[in-house]
Amino acid sequence: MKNSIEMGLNRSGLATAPRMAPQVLQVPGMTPKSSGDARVIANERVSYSKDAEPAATMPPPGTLKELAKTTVKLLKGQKSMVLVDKVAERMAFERGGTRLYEALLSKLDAFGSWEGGPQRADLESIMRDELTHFHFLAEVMGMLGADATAVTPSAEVHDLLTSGLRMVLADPRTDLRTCLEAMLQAELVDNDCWQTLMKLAFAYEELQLAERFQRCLEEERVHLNRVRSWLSAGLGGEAFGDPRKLAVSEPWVQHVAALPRPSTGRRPHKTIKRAPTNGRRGNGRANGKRTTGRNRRGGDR
Amino acid sequence: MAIDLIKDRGTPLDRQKFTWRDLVQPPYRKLNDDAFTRVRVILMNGIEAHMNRTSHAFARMTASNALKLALAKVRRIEQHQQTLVNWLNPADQSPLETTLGFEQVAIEVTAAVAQNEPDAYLAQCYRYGLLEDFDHMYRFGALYDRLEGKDANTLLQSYTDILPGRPTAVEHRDPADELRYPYDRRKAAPLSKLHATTILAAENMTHDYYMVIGPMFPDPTARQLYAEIASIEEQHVTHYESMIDPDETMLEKWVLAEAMEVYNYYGCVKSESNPRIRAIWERFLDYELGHLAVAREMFQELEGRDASEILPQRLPEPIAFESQRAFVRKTLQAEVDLRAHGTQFVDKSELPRSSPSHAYREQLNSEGSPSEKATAGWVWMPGTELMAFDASKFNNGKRVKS
Repeated sequence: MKNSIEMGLNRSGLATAPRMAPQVLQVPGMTPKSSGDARVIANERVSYSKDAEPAATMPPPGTLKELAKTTVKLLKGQKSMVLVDKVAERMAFERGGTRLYEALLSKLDAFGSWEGGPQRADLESIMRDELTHFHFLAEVMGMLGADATAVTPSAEVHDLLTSGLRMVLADPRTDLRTCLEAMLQAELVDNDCWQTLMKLAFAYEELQLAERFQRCLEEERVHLNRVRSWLSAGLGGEAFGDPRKLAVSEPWVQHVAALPRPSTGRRPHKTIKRAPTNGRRGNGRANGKRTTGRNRRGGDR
Repeated sequence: MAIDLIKDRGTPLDRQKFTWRDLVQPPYRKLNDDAFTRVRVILMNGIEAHMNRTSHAFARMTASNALKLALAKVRRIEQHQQTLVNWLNPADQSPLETTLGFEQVAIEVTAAVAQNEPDAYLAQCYRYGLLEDFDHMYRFGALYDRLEGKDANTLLQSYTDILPGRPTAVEHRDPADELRYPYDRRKAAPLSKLHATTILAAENMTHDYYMVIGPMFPDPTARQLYAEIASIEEQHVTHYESMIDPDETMLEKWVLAEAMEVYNYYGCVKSESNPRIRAIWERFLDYELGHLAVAREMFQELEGRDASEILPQRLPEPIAFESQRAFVRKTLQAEVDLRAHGTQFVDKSELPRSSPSHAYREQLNSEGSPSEKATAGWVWMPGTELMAFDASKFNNGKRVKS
C-alpha cells in the first residue's frame, strides 16, 4: 500500500453477494409494519437534555493571586469565561495537533511522499508551529489568570471531535495521503477557531492579543493551503498522472501555491507583553470611552 | 486431519509461547474479509473468555495445589490466546459494528447448533434463544441506521436477515421462567455437551461486551437499548448455563471445556477463508490439544477416571459457519409466539396471566421500551431507510416515503 487506492474484494455492497442478495432484498416486504419513525429517538434526546447537566464546567482561576494580577481589564467575571474557554480549547488543540503531526511523520517514514507532496522538513515545520502556538496560548492562559493545566468545556468538546482524526492517524493501515485528509479537517477547524479567537479578543478590545492571534491565524492559513496542495498533488498524480491537475480544476479554492513552499520557521511570539496598567491598555479605550482605531488591526468586520 | 481426543497431545505447554508483537497481529479487514471471519473471531474470543472465567472459578473451589497450578499454567496461555484473537478486531470497527458481529454469531452459530443438536429439548432451547438474538439484530440494525446513517448489511454481507424476531420488549422474564432442566451427564451425547458450553461462552461474552460498551454511547436511546439487551443477555446466560448438568465434577467440566475448544478451533480451521487467520486457528487447535492433554491427566490423577468415559475418540462434525437463513425463517414462522413458562415453552396465549414474567416486564417497560423506541416504524432497506425518503417532503417534522 503506497498512498494509493487498491482494487480488491470489498464485500460491503450487495453486488458482491449475488447469490444472497435476492433473499436479503425480500426483507423489506417481510417486515411487519410498526408506527413511528426516527423522531422517537429525537424526542428521547430532547427529554434527556432537559435533565442533563453540562458535561463540564469552567474551572476556577489558577490562583487568587493570579486573578488579582490579571492584566486584561475586561477579562474579569462572567464574560471572561468565554475567552478563557476558547483559549483553552485552542491550546489543547494545538498541543494535540503537535501529536497529530508526529503521527503524520510516521506515515511519511512508512509510505513516502509523492511529487508535490510533503517532505519531512515541511511537516516538522508545521509541527513546530503547532507546538509554538500551544506554548503561546499556555502563556495567554496565565495572563488571563486561568489554569493552563485544566480542561475546559470547549477543550473537551474539541478533543472529542478530534478523536476520529487520532483514530485515522494512529492506524498502521492508513497511508500518508489518507492521513492528510485527517489533517485537512484539523487545519480547517483550526483556521476557523483562530479566527474566532481573534474576533473575540478584538470584541473585548484587547487589540494586542487580537494582533497576536491574527499572526497565528496567518500561519494556520499557510498550513491549510499547504495541506490542500499536497492532497491535490497526490490525488491529481494518482488519478491523472499530473500532480498539478487538481490545483487548476478547483477554481473556488484560492491556493497560495499549487506546490508546497518552504516554511518560514518563524516563531509567532517571543513573549507576551503585559498591557500597561495606567488605564491605557492599548485596547482602544481611554477613560471608558472609545477613542480611535476600532478597525485598526486584525479585525475582519 | 483426524483428531483423537483421547490420545492426541498437541503442542506441549512449554512450547506454547508468545511475544507482545505476536499477540498484536494485523487485524482482519472489516469490509474485505468474509463476515464469517468476524463471526469466528468474536466466537473464539468468547470461548477463550469462558475458559478464563471457568478456570478461575475452579481454582477458587479446589484445595489441590497440583490442580491450582495446572489450571494457572493453562489459564495463562488461554489469556494470551484470547488476547491474540480479540486483537484481530480492527480499530475501525466501532463498538456498534462489533455488536452487529456479536448478534450475527448468536444467530448463525446458534442456528447451526440447533439443527445438529441430538436432544430435542435442548434444540428447542437453542431455537428459543435464537429468535431473541435475531430480534436484537433488528434493534441494533435500526440504531446503526438512525444514529450513524449506516446500513448493517454492509457488515453482515447478506448472510443474515434484519427482521424482527420475538420482540425484545417481551423477552424480559422472571428468573423462574429462565431456568431450564439440564441434560443428564450420563446419557447426553458428547455433542450436546460441546454445544451447550459453546453457546454459553458466546452469550456470556456478549453480555460482558454490552456491559462494557453500553455507557460509551452518548445517545440516550442507545444507552437504554444496550441496558435492555444486556439484561436479556444475562437471561440467556442463565438459560444456557442451566442446561448443563451440575453433577459433572469440576475436572469433568474442565476436560469437556478443553474438548469444546478443540472442537471449535477445528471448525474454524475447516471454514476459514483468510489464510493468515487460518494459520492462527491451526496453531491454537494444537495448543488446545495440549491443554486437553493436561486436563485428561489431572482427571486421571485426581479422580482416577479416564477421559474416554466422557469424550468420544473422534470429533463430531464441526459447526458450519454459513448462512442459516432458511432454518431461521422457518423457526421464526413457527415459534416466534412461544413464551417460556418454567422450564417449558408454550404459546403466548397459554402463558397464565398470573405468570411472574408479566408483572416483571410490565414494570421494566412501564416508562417505555428502548427497543421499541429505537425501531419505531423502521424497516431495513439496502442503503438505509433514508433511501426511501423523499427529500423534498422532509421538513416541518414530517418525513414522507417516496
